[in-house]
Amino acid sequence: MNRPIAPSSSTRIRAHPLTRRNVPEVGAMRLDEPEHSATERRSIIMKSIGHSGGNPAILKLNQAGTLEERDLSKLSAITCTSYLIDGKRDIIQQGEPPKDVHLMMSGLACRYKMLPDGSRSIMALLVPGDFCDLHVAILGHMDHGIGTLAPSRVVDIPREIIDDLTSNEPRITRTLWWATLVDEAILREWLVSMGRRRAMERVAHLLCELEVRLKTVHLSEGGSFELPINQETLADMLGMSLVHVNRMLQKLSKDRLISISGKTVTIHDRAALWDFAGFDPGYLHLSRHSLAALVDVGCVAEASA
Amino acid sequence: MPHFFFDVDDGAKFERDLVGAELDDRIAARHAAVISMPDLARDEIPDGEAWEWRVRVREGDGTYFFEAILSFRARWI
Repeated sequence: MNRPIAPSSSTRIRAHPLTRRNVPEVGAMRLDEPEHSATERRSIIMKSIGHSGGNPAILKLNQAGTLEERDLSKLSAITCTSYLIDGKRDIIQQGEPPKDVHLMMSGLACRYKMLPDGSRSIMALLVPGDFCDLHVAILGHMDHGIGTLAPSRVVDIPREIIDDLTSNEPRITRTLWWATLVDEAILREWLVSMGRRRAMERVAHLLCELEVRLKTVHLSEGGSFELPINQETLADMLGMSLVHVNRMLQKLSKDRLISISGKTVTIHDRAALWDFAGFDPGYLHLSRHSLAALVDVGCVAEASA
Repeated sequence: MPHFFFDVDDGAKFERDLVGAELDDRIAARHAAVISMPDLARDEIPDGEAWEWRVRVREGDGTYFFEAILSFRARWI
């Protein structure tokens, strides 16, 4: 890759490729010990690379369940150089020809369109680990904009790298397709919300989904996660008026399903909120392991079975 | 930006807005109240012949300065 290598842990990975012959020790565990299954080895490697919270792109793509050591180090190398972009800035504007593929490493962004009356409609939220526009380079120009909602770290992946991955890395390619299909599934659920869910269910459903998506990339703990957006943005996302969003959030809080403190949302009773919202995480197509983790922290197993 | 509160009275219950929202001015607050009316009605069409939703907007010091009313009438003919 024709760009400087960041002085991060990925540099070490390049110096010491993660082969089974030459593996770093993680605590007392060694990766080449036979008692570790392939899944455990992957998980140990994932803990050993990236920053403390783990590399969100790898955490996300690993949900597809097909990546091997070589893929993880390749993804780690691709995602090592990120840059910071302020909140409320465009990553790419409607009408622009897409060049690089953008990958969210931290923060929050959205896909949006502006309407003739000056109002904004948000069609998707992009959390860390999400690719902004994986296959859009096939199209000549952006038919929507992508902008940050909060300060974010973004990786620009040159088109050639994606082309190289899709030509030479079948397992990574499969996970990229998985990510694209999950994006579409999320959009379908978004449409159902807009068209058919009642306001309070719509708000609740979005919070359920966000908590699960953020948990997948280790950004939600004990039902709490950061949602650094204001009510106006939430209204643009839910297709509702600001006053009604405000009212629905207060009702959910009053019913003790959630609480909001500053920018932190806490889900108090996940099972009850899932039930109320009619939320079934099946459409997120998570790994069994991730679904099991949701069950471990107190939600109903039946909902995701 | 000034902070405005939107209290909603659906005829059966008065809900005091405890959170509010920051908006440019009274004109923006009036607009926010008016466009919230269809949302209120959409989910909460009551069983009955007459109903009124009332959104009252107040400033941070408690002064009410605007009210929007949406009324519902239904009857057999």
